[in-house]
Amino acid sequence: MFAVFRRKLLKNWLMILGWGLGLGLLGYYLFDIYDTFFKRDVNLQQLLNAFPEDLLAFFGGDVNLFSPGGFLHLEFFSYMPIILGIMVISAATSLITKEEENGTLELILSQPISRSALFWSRLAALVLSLLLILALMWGGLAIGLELNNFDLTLEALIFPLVSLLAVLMVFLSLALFLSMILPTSSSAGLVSGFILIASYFISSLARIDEDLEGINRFSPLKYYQGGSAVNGLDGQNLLILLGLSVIFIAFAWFFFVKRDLRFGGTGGLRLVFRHKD
Amino acid sequence: MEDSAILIEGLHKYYGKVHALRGLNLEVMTGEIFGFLGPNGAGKTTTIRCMLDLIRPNQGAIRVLGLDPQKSPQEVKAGVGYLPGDLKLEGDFTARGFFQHIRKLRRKNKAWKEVEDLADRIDLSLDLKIKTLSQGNKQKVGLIQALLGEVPLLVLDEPTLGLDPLMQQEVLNIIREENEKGITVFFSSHILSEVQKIADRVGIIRKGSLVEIAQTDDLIQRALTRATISFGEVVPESDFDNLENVKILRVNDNRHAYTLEITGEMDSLIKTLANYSVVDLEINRPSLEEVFLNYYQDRGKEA
Repeated sequence: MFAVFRRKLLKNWLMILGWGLGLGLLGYYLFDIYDTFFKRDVNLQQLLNAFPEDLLAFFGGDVNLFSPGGFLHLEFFSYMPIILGIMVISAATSLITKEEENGTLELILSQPISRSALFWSRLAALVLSLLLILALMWGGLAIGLELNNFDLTLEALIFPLVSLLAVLMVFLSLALFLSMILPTSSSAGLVSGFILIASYFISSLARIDEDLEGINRFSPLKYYQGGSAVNGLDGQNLLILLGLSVIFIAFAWFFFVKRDLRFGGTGGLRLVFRHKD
Repeated sequence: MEDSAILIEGLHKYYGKVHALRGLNLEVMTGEIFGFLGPNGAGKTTTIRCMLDLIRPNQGAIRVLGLDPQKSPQEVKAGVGYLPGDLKLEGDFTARGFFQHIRKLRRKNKAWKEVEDLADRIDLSLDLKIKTLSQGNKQKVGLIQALLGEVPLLVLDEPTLGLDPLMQQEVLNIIREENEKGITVFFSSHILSEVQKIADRVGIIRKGSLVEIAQTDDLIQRALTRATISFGEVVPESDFDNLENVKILRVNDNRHAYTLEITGEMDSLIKTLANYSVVDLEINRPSLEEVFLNYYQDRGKEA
């Protein structure tokens, strides 16, 4: 329903501008930093070689800082899932549940609008907001790229953002799903945030500890390419991330449509799974 | 046209282990104003939320405007103007912006001029942000949004909550006028005098089930009436003891004055009084409030 979609999108405009312009600006400055690295007569590679391999692996694996992809990954895309992940988790847990908790959703859902329409309209507005943030980030990176001497095309810059979008969609949909089954939006945010941070550490540590590889298969960040995607997207990784997102979103929708609306702290697992006495 | 605007049969609702509705049965006829009475926690709001498919009952059947809210939620909600009891509004809207947003969600709306007239009538500024409004003004916003649609049924949960007495009266007038257009009104209230003023019938809910449903006047008539009578002569107690529906509450020492409690019709009492010289007669009809309280006190004792 367009009125709900439009309303949600308008409510997100500050978030879009704040995050998009902020990260776009950061992306733009990255290229200046890159130029500075090469203009200085310092052998950075030698400096990096002095670091323990394990430490380097934790911060980006075997990436080459002096390749465009390696530089972008290490300086920008390696930590973007954490920064934007926190943002999408917060936005997803607020998408519906927060308004249930503050009571404003009762009036909206008493209008002739189905729960499905509300769910999909709001989700579409949130995903579009995320796309706009990523587009602004791309804009900042693209301006930096154009103004500096960097061996990369504007099109290739899109690939890491697609990989980032895919992994963010996993955390967005996971947080949305958890907000439907956990008693409060804050508990859903807490659990999703924990999974995000744990996933980041597991994926980072798995590069230096083979024993973690088993559990790493369940970490969404294992399938995140980051800056290395400038050399081409891995379709399989992308499909895994998008498939996970679709599953979580489908479950979130199912539970929202089937369960009771929550009123003033009445949320809980009992309301999700119908009580039988 | 359906005879019943709302039909509820054997409705049960649990919140975890709390049994909020216990086999509630209720029928609201098309075109009437129905007052839904009950203390806090009796199940009024739960019933209303089940009617609008905001929550789902564990057992029982509901028909609103002839439709099952779980099977046809949008159709039911398209026919209902709803004011929640625990009204919460998005504060960043102005009242005007909020009404325009709600109108986009509804199928058939009143003309905008009617909305402005309503706002004028209840003294609501449309251009202030909702977050800056007092509780009473927020209630006015909630009331007008319930009246935005061209609907056959209004469900109003505590419509005069937070309003001053003058505004309460105006809101009751608006409800009555809507009803005169043929709209069925189902409303709950704690202010029993306002229910008494406008409701054709009332239902009393207690601990999740309906304990009484009746015409408002009948309910009051059926209740106990108190009469204080002063006589110009001595009147024997046996004259009143013999009357089936009369009970002596108090009698003065010289048997010149009596306070009686009468149930139902007063015909036999009046005929008895005609045999004596009556100096003064004062009859106190109970308000709906007293009926309601008596009901709860009596049932409470039974329980």
